[in-house]
Amino acid sequence: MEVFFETLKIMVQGMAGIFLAISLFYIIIKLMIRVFPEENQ
Amino acid sequence: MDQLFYGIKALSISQVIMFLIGGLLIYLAIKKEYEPMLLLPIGFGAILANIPFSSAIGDEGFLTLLFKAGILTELFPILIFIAVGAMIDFTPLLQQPFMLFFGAAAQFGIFFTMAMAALFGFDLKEAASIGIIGAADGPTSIYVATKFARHLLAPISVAAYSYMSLVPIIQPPVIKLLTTPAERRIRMKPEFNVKISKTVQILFPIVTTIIAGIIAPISVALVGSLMFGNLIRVSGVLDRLSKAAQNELANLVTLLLGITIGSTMTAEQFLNPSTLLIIAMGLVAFVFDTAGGVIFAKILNLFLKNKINPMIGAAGISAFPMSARVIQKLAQKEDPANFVLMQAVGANVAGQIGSIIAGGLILTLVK
Repeated sequence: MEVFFETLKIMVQGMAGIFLAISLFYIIIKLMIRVFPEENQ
Repeated sequence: MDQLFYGIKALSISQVIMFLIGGLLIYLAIKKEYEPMLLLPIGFGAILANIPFSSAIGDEGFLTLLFKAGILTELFPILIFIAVGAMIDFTPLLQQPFMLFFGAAAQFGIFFTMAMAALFGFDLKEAASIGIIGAADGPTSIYVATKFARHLLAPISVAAYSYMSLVPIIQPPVIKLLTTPAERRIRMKPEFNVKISKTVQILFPIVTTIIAGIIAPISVALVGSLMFGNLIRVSGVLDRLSKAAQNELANLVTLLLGITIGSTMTAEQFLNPSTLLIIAMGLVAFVFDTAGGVIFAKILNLFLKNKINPMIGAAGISAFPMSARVIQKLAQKEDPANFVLMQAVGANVAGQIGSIIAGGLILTLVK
């Protein structure tokens, strides 16, 4: 059961980590599109 | 005379069963076209490895040498990532970055399956390796299993590639169970008038590598090789290398990867109850990935003015482009004029990023 509880902890940390990384990507993509729009190329 | 028969005399029932399993994989590859590029070499590799006194395995066998050189060093999965990176077009994702979140939510199956595997008595590293089948991404599964549970590499690889090819069978019932016909008919506003500049396309793989690397340094090899392949593609000055990565590199490494994985399917390693459990849990992983994506989209719909078709959430798995096609098919079944393919492709590409981030996080969090 100890391993099971450990996996639950990893589940929370893992999903939080993925959403954190994805949120950063989201912000950066939005930012890049604003800073380097197509018409400026 | 004895020398002629010593192979026959040494043949055991379990080896014959492995011949049949190898034959089944070859049958599925040829007749059903289930991931033939992988399942056929894996099936044949399994046969080579189970012939008594096979010279293909053992200390000097060529398959053992390939295993040591390409799998234990993690070289094959990394090379595959470069090839995959060169094949991916991130434009649909860059045009609608919101889809990234589905690529995150649909990794839930990894962690759920990991917990289930722990309940069935696997230790933490084995459970993590089994859970990663839910990444729906063969090279990530191989990469993590090689690091954490080398002895489970064969069943994990077979499960990962088999279920990836079974996405059109696995996903629709789960989606139908979790959505109403009205939800499946939701039309989404297209966002494809956004033009993505060359600068953004070039910066994306570089920035992604840096961010993912800072969050989970151990993922640099995974993310970095994928993004390196993509950078070659979008740079516009390395067409020859991009094509070589997409064709020659991908084909050659896939060929060697499959037969090498197959060679680990020896009867003594493969024929045990844990193999069946791993294969069953692989299915659980894909089901809960799908459920995670759909439920996340439904939760978002509680707050959004412009509703999302919740089926898009299911496309957040890495199995590209099967999952996106499945979603489009289901959407058109409910409403022939509904076109959600591009949104689903965006989520599907996000799933490819989500799966390697999940792989990197698993490697970071599991000690």
